[in-house]
Amino acid sequence: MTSRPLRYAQAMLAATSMLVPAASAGELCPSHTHTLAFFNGVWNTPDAAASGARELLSTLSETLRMRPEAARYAVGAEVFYNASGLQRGLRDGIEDLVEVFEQRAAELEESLQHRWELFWEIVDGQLAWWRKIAAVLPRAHALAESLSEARNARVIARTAALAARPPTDIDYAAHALRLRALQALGRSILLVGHSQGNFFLNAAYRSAPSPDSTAAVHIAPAASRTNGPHLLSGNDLVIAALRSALPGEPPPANIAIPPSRKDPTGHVLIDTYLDPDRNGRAAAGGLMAERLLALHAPAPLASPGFFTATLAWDGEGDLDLHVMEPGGVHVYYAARIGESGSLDLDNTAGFGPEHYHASCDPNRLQAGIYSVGINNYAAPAGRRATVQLATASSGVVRTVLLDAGPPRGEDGDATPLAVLQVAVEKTADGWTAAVH
Amino acid sequence: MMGRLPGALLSAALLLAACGGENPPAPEASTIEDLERTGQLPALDRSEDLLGPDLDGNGVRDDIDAWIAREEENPARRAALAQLARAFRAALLTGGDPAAAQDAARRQTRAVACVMARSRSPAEGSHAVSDMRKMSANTKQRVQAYLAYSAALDGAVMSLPAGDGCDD
Repeated sequence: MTSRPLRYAQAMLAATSMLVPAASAGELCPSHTHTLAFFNGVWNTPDAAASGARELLSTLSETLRMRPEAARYAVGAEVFYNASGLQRGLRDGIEDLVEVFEQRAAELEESLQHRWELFWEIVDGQLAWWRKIAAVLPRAHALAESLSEARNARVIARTAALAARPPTDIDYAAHALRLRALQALGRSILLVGHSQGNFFLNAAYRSAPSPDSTAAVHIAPAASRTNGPHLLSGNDLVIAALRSALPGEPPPANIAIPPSRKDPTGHVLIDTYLDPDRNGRAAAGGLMAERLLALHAPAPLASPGFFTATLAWDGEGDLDLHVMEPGGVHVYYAARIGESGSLDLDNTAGFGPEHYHASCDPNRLQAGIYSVGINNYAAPAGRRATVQLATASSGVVRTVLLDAGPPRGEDGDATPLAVLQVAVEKTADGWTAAVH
Repeated sequence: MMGRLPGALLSAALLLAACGGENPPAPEASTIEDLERTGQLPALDRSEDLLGPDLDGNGVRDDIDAWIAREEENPARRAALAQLARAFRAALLTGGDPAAAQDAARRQTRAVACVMARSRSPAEGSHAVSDMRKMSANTKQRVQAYLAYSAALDGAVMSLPAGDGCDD
């Protein structure tokens, strides 16, 4: 086993050689300067969360366009997704609403029993198709009311459960790792939460490496604790309902967004808070822009890559990231510079991160299969490892959580635990990366 | 302990809109089938097959294809909706596998961004996305498949595309 001083010397030697930027050309790596990280509310499906993030980015961009100091900003957006309420087996989850829908529809109106598209309207709290049906089948009105009540009771119960036991960064290791990777790349990060998403935002904020380069904005916060300014409409009926059901003192309302038939609850992110026809959108854009403009970019510790692999783990000790490049070069702590990329972060103390980037220089980047693995060099058995793969064009494409196994020291260097493979191809249209 | 009142109040708020009816049905509609026949509601496939029929092999379920053709005249937005329909179809097939779900999510996130970019307002875009979910996951089996896909993504990070996300 390599002694710690020797290993430190190896690391310093490699670090010295990396003072020359490993990625000389940004040609293959369009890069952002800032990231908007969106934390969705409960019972949000992935598609709904993606549309929320997309619209937040549009709202922020509208405001930044009026600020000359932001002219060189390139802001990307990512969904830090939680499926809270949608998992199977939760007592206050969506699963039993599936059964409730089936039973009550069968009891009240058989013709609705098989129309599961109406189930999603209950989930979303948007009843456009129910309204049309109720006009020709009045009984549908009572059914929609009963199902909406069942839905709201479960949403409130799920929120109360989150308030009683907030999520942790260990529960959401992929979120925490992504924040650390972004910071290592020198990006400033704006965390934006909507509704119960603020519980998840708070967990991520606690794990953020630097408060100078990370800020939070809370929209319609369901959580009583905040880490930055908030926006809450006095006409938000969902938060008003939660206020009486949750412990703690939630933030006060600080804007009155006029009621609208677009969203009778006054709570939906896009239909109310980001509605271009009312005052919430400008306020949200202003709040996000102010926080973003106040951020200081962290000093970059790692390089962007055509693709990057990042490793973190859940405690002290030493796990190692290994990448076998297409040309046969094995990149790891003892050989950090490969033919195609480099290990630019090595951590021997604990938690990580370790980071490998494949070059952005098309003259250096190799086509072929990259094998990404890990070795438990000197950490207690049972460490939970998170490996995250991101590409320059698509952002995070895969996160894998796995048991790092028992410590194997140098014996494990030659046979790291295989995690995933990346196939890089050069085609007539350019370079592509696919994960397997 | 949660009270019953908050949920009931919210339900009442949601149902307020139902009373007025922003889009009252045409006079000739007196049944749900009438609403479907006259195009006020989509007439959807409810077969047991998770994916449903796709006779022209374009990756979009035939009934959803027909809905897109009827609802949207703009070719660019039609293409965006078809891209989104294909993405939902892929999501239904993931079977709750985290790796497959992340691949499908990347595709879906691009498609959502594309539809939003080609819609006339944020609300039109987000409602088109939720309408596509309603139509794509419109049987119990499809609902459960979509919930399994969603649950498999718990804790994932999904990046929005740098451009508009459109395939064409």
